[in-house]
Amino acid sequence: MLEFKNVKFIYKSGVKEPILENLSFKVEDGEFISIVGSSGSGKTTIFRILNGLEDIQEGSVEIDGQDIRGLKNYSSYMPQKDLLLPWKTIEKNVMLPMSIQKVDKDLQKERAIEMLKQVGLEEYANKYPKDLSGGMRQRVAFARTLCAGANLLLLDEPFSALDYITRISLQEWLMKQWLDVKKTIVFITHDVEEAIFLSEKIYVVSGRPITDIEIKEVDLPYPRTREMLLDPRIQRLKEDLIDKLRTTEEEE
Amino acid sequence: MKKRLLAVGFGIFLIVLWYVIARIIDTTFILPTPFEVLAAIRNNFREIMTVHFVATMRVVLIGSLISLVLGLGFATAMIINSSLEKAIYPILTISQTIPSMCLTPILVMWFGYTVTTRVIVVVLMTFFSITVNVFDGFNAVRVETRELLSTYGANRKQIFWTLQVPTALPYFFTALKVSIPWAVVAASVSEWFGAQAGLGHFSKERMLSLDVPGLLAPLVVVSITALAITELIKFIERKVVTWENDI
Ligand SMILES: Nc1ncnc2c1ncn2[C@@H]1O[C@H](COP(=O)(O)OP(=O)(O)OP(=O)(O)O)[C@@H](O)[C@H]1O
Ligand SMILES: [Mg+2]
Repeated sequence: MLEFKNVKFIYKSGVKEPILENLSFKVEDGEFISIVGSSGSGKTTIFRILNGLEDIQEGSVEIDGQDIRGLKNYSSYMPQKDLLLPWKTIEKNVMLPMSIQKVDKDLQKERAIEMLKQVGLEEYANKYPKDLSGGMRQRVAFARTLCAGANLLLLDEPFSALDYITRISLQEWLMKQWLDVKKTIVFITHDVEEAIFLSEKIYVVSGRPITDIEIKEVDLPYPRTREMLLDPRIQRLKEDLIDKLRTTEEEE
Repeated sequence: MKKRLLAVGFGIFLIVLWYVIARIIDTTFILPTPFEVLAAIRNNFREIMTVHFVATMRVVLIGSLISLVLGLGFATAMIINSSLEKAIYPILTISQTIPSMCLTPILVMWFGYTVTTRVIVVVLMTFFSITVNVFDGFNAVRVETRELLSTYGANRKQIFWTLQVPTALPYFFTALKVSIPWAVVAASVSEWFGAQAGLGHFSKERMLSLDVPGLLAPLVVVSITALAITELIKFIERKVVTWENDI
């Protein structure tokens, strides 16, 4: 379980106003959570804190009751851009987290091939990133994220740079991956429909500073299909979320 | 391909123009024709290649190797120690604008008409651009990529070898392409001040005996050598850097 407890955070550079203030929330193991909120509200900041890239001023962030400052490899981060290294083969890119963690060479290769099979790209193992389409590269980035070995996956708008058709097929793909690997996923997105389609709960962040999170449950069974989104209840939820995002946008 | 053709065409045009003007002036010791220069190369080919070319290239080679070691060393040291960077980097960028060849007379006063003097000229000519380019290359790494690696638990050494070194490679080749041809020129020019052998030395001897085709002959060799080295570096670069940098 992931838990933010009364967290206060201010960036050391730039505007000296808090981004998070007395913020508390929880994510249970195995959940699929989406975070939505207007641009610049602080979603990526929450991930940066979780990754240990930023230090908080007050409160604590805990995994299973332990402060993250004493932990290692508890989360795997997947950024918006795939950030594949152009001089490494696909396989070597997927192996990257393991080679940094000095995992045994044979095991690295074995795991990388396994993960590439999982994302359906094993025949591209010896190709280079430039040989792949945007959607495929994103799948490779996901395989690399899985190879970091953590149970908590932090995905920051992974599909936002893709075209619509690629995006919806990757959403369906990601849902299957989640049902397969049973890891905890926290997923940042701007796209309300994407959030509804994928997640069990949607966390709406708003305000500067962010002081609390409004949680919306998506009451649909898995595996989901696109038709389920046409349900009037879901349509109402969608309108409701869009309204929320709009008003927070206007306040700022 | 069309660009190539235009360049070759223009080159031929310049040589023809040279020939025509030389024929109009019609005085070999002011402006010889291209054929007279070619004849001078042919007549002295053995001497130019086995004595003078070898002497010049030895200086170029030694000087470039020293620059390579020093340049890569300094660039790496500046990455490791940021106060070193703050102290050295501004001076390095400014010193690039000093025409190092003009320092040759002082070097001659210190070290005489020796190989040492000329090697130092070559080092001065190449060291700065290698250091600055490689250092800039190390720093061209995207912040996001560096952060991603650190979320995997990478330390500075791992980030240096897996990320910064490959990113700097294209910058390194750019530095070589710019500086090594100039090293050949610098080595030759520094021989004018006094040397026992070398392409510049040969030119100077011929000048003293008013043999202008002989004076120009090594110049042609220098130009062709500089061009050939550039092409060689480009060839190696294509073999090594097979990707486009957008890290
Ligand atoms: N490294 C930084 N230093 C200082 N301020 C920053 C830094 N990164 C982000 N900020 C500021 O913090 C605020 C929140 O940024 P953040 O990137 O978390 O927003 P976001 O919700 O992820 O936005 P988007 O939806 O556009 O990705 C913004 O106002 C931003 O300008
Ligand atoms: Mg963001």
